[in-house]
Amino acid sequence: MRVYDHHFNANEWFVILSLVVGTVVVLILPKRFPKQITTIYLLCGVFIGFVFDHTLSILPVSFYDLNDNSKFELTDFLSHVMYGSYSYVFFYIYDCLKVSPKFSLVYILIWAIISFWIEKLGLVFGVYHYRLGYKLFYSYVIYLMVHSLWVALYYFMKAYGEKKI
Amino acid sequence: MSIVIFASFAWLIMILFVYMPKWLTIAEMIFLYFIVGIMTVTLFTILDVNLHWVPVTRKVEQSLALHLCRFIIIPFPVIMAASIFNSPLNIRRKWMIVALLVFVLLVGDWLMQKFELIFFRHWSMVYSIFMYPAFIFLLSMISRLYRRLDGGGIKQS
Repeated sequence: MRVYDHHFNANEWFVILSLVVGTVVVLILPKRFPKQITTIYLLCGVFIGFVFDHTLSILPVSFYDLNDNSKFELTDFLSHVMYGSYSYVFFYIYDCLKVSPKFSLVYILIWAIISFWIEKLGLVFGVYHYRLGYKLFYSYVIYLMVHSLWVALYYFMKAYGEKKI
Repeated sequence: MSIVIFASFAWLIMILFVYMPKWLTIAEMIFLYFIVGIMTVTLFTILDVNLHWVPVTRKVEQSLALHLCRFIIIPFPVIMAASIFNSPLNIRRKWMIVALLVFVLLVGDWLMQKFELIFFRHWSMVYSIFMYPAFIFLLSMISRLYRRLDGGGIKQS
């Protein structure tokens, strides 16, 4: 097991503050979607966080560790949950601005740049610990892919959300 | 070799998923997929990294096969079972179909062991026999709560 620190310090505060700010933002924003869809948009970020962090941060690749050590702990769980409000705001603004499919690529690019800088901040605060030559720029590519999937999900939900197959 | 076996098994499960009648909307199924995905990934990591009860393979090919298990072979039968619980079928038929789906999940577990994707150190198939129905029951309860929320589709307020 790799240990980075044993204390309640910057990384924990970063996760807690992100979670609190994210929750407040979600609660303050005027309701725009039905509750079922809101739940999906919130879960979307959490799910993607789990998928990538538990794929890239465990062996055989193990490109990075989260928070204080390589084990899975409560702060890691919370750091995945904090992606929920992030994905919700992504869908919310996309819907608010009525972004056209043509402009979607620009929208995705802007969000990938924002995500890049948020991760950079997480790196500074000790939320992420890169290993084996992993670089922040690799995450940027992942953000481009993930946000593209989210836009696809938005249109998919809009077209088929209520349907049964 | 393991990747071929698991890709084929995952494909068969997807065929089963496509043909099986479903009583959930797409929004409900996507919601359940996210929930199962989060639960499966968390459980795998805790059992492997934290407790060392079920260590997973460190080999690249087997790891890819394991991802098929995490994201197709386990979630899809669980979603099908949750859908069955929300169907108007009679209780006996529901349990029969769910038992069949649990059997599919157990075959998946057996294959994972056989091809050394996971190693049962402090775990056995007997635990899985209880774990999967509990997992399915929990999920069908969550899906009932979710269905009580307002309907799917995007509506502007």
